[in-house]
Amino acid sequence: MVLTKLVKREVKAFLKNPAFAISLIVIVLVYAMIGGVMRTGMEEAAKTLRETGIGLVVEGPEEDQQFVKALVSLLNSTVLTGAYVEIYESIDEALRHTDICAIIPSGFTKNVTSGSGMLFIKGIVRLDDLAVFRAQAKIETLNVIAGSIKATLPMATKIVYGKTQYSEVDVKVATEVIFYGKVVNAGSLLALLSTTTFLPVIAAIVIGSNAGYAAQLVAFEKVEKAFEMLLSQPIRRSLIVLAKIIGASIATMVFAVVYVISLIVLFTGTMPRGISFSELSETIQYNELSAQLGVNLGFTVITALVVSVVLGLLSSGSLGIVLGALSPDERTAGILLTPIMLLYMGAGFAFTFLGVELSAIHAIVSGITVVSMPTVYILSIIANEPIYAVVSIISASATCLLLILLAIIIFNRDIVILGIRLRERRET
Amino acid sequence: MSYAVKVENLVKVYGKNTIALRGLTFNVNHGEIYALIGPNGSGKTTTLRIIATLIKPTSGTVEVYGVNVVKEPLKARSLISYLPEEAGAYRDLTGEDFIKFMASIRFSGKRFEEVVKEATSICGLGKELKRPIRTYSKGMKRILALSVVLASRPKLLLLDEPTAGLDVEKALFVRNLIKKYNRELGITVLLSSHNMLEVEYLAHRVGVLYGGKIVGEGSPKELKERLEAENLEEVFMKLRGQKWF
Repeated sequence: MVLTKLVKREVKAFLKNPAFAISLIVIVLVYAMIGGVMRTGMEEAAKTLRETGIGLVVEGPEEDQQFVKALVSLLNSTVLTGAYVEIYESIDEALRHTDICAIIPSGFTKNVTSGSGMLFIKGIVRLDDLAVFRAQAKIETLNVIAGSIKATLPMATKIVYGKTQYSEVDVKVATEVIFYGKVVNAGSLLALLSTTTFLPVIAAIVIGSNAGYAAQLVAFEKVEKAFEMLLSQPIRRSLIVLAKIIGASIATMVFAVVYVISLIVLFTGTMPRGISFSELSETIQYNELSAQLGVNLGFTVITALVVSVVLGLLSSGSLGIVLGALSPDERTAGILLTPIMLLYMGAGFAFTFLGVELSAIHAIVSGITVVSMPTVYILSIIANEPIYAVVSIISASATCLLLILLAIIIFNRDIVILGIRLRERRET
Repeated sequence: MSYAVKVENLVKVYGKNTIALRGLTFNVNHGEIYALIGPNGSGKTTTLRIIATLIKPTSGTVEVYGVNVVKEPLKARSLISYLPEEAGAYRDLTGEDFIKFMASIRFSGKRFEEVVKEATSICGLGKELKRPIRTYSKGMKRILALSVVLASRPKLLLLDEPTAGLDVEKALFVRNLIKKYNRELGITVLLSSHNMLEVEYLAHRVGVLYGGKIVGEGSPKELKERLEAENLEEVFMKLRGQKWF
């Protein structure tokens, strides 16, 4: 019976802790939002697969136009649900109207009628963002087209040529991706997108942790009762603020390094025996992709990470210091910090699933949140539109400076000593 | 006459209607030990925090050796050492590291070494200084913090209930330290306390604070004579207009 009382006491302590209660509410709201964002991202990808118009271009003049038209008619009326295929005169014209283009190469109809071997079509996909799900959907659409052509070939040959005997052949698609006007290998690009698409989530974890560390530095100092002694020393409060931001950032860097090592250990552990991590990483083929994109991909990714990490740590550190300074103790710090950390996570997931497009507004938002900044930076360099990277960096720097300034202002106000007052109290 | 501390018409309002200080006025002479006494909520901590530049007054002025604490806080802080109520220390540091860290904020070179040596000597913690502060008792932490404050030899020492929660032996040790530094080095001390015995032992003058203003001021002897009281507790109760048993 004593145990029951003890357990009741422990449960009450949790339930009466506002940080715990707020966490419960916020976690439901944020994850509901994340769920919505994920659904939107996936629905959009599925919609692309179903409804996007697909341009079809016949490469050789010797191809049987009647057969191609019959094939397209069958594709649109029987096999493809939602999607539609339209014939264009040239690849340029097709790409003016759609992001996905299938090309019937020279000799295709001849090979169909002769029934020789495997059939190939060419595919071109245009991508203008770093959303891996959209990219996968568009590339997959071409595979669906190839499969659909395979399925409709027997009926098309029967209609056009009256052939009742047809030996089934595979139809393969050789896909090229036009990524911001540059032709790249689809496999390598997808591998790159798979890596970069999760950068916002990783950034959100690191930045959220940094805000937490920074808030703890101040809140614990208050609880340890050393804070007032420190603030009464003849030093500028701005120095104390900067020291705390740098201190928290160093702690977070240590955390981030261990976190990345853990991820590598995780991925290595999930790989089949006999395959090394370096072999796997080679699938991205950075050198080839760099040459195709016309940028030094390794340098761009590293620069994006360094710039984002530095600005992200400074701004989230400042935010954490602000929250810690507003809190009279670590309990209140927890109350204030929980929604902030969850919002960072939410933003990370949102950018991951919705993708990042280049626009001035997105560049500014990415600078403010920082979580999508590496993606915007990489994309703007690849797209040869560095202005968005510059806008993002300026936005992040301005946010960073404002938060540092806010922290310094708060450190020079009564509230840093008294803490935020949830209720009126007599402090004398 | 210039004062070590000059407080004039000090008002502090928290939020919209919690008045902590209502036109508080008092002066502390150079080399004096001045004690603020009063019940909980009378404004003692608020007064010390304003003088220590930790919070700002709603109105009124405070000068420390002629330096306005609101207009020139950095200069004022260089004249002050403040020991907050229940002052603690960083739990992850050893006592020795704490002394070095706090001393390094104000001093460097030879003066830094001297301050560290002096703080190490006056705290009397010996080998305990090598241990983490989280293993210290409340009294040890208080004495450690006080030793750093004293060793910095400020012109003005602000002590908020310096012996609160300490056992008799450690409280006596702290009082003697304060008295020694005041007498031998002429350091001005402004302290707050609930312990009337301590105030009688230490203070040259006492300010009785009630409802955010001084309701009585003078040396312990003067106050007792004026109010025909046997001790400061009786003085305090008579000033509040309450019956003394």
